[in-house]
Amino acid sequence: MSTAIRLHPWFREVRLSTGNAVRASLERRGEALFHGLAWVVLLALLAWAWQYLDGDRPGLILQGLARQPLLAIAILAGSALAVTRAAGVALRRELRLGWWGAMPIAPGQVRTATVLVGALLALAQFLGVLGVLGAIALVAKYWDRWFAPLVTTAAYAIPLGAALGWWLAERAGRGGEDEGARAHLHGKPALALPLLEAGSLAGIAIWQRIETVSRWRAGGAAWAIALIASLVPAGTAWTSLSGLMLFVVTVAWLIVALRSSEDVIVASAELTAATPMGLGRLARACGRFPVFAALGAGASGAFALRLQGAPTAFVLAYAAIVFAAVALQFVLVLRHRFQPSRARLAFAVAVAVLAASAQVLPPLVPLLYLALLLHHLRQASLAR
Amino acid sequence: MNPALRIQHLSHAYGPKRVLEQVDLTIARGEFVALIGPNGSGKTTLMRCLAGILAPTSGTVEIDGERMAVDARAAKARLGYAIDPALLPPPLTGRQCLALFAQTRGLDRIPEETLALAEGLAFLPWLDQPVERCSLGTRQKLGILLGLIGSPPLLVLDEPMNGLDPVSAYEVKQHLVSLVRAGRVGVLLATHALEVAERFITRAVLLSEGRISREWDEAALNVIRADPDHSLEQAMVEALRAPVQSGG
Repeated sequence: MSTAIRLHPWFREVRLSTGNAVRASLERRGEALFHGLAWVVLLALLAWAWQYLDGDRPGLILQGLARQPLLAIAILAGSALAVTRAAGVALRRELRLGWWGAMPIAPGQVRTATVLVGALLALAQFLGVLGVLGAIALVAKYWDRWFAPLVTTAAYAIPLGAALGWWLAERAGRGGEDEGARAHLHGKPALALPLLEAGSLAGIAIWQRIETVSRWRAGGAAWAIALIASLVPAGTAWTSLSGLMLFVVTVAWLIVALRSSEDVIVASAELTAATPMGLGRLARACGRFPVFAALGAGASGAFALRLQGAPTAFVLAYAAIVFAAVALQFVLVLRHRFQPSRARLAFAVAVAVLAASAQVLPPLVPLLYLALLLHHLRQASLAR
Repeated sequence: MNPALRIQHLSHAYGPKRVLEQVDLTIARGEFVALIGPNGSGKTTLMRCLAGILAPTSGTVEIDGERMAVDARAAKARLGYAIDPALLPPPLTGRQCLALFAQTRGLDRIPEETLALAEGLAFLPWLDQPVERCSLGTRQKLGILLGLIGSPPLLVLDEPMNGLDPVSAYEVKQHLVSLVRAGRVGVLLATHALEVAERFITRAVLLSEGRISREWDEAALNVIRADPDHSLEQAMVEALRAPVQSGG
């Protein structure tokens, strides 16, 4: 009998799926060529804009982070934990409840698969951090003050967080959690919100809210927050510390809420595609929860920033950015409601363009934003 | 010889909601059992528990003598479970799906028997197409073919005729009946198509509110078949209404 380690056939499935997807995209030569050229142009534009950035501005924040290694560890390990745990839970669910669920596969193969995926994710996160730090270092004069300490910190904080995330995912899997139980145990919001959950097609807002609550509770957010709390340096003023904690929680919640909202909008659009319901009615029904999310995250984040002693202008800018980001994301999801990956790509491109504009011509940013928003809104109304 | 399937005192709950209560069921090779019952009665949960996809809250599942809780791999090696079309990976072709499952079952290629059935189901033209380009019925055929790979002694199919054209549905039924008649397998088929099932099954089991509330063996089924004014559908409706009437 062979003693070689046998990989879970899921790896072969992924390899075959990737190969098929690449072959299929290459078969559509015109489209592939256009996408390739578009990426080259976009990357060239970003590289051109990048050289005009003053890397020492973000460098100041990075330098501050390098001086507080425990905070840097908390942030890097916390994010690695959250990413690895979420991916681990999703992979376990797929292998147990998906098409491999009833196949004769050794438990060791499942464990090896989750370990390998966790390790690859940790490596990808480290390379991502290294890439971002390296890109900023390229345009910073004083990069030597923070680059090496932060890379060293990332080299042990990310594997530490990833290992903890893997262990938590393994623990969740051992608990016998399944879709039915998960929905039953984690999906019930703690408070009733009559304003959000009334009116036409109220079910969509309720669905968005339940999805957010379910993902938030399943995401191990409490662990990440506790980790940050335990590692923040002693002697930090409690108001500042509370502000930092609240801000981290607010941003994390907003990300979860927007992603959940997006998935529900896509599903709702598919469900109602064959009905005579107009886009306006769908938009009004789907838009209530993102507005609620923006109001909540705006207020909570603004309060958190005030606790940290941020000036009023900074707080107002934060609130404006939250509302602008939520509105843009909503319009993009509405426009690409049948191809959500395009919405995400378009959002990333819009953010990159706006960020580059903010560096080159800051007064142009609000105008550019409005132009982008109106353009996508018009396209959304045309794309029936 | 071990029965193809033995379930003892099986219960399952989703959180506080109990879905299956003390289910006992044994299926021998050469038996074709229909699992019938209203929506939400626990049929799919029972099938997922016996396939080792869900861990039961209590009770045991034994497939061809192998206990699922003791050696899941050995038990699953003796089980053929038709795949839900919604779970098939969209980018893979039918051939790739079949080859993956064949390899996982220790076979070096897709068995001839599977390809012959694929031909009978008119699936061969779709064999090299990605799943995402297949219709629901074509995906259903692939799900059935995947479940039958490797000739396991127990076959479990959940509503396999959904979306199948009449010729393909006939082929699937004939194939399953021939396997059962040869004494090679025991089949458990969850279905709502009672008028179809009653013609070829050897036993029917009614699951209601998570419990097996009624069974019809071959003799009882023969009585139903012999009476043109009676049907399994009618017998099931009467069995389901009986407790309500007595209680009300």
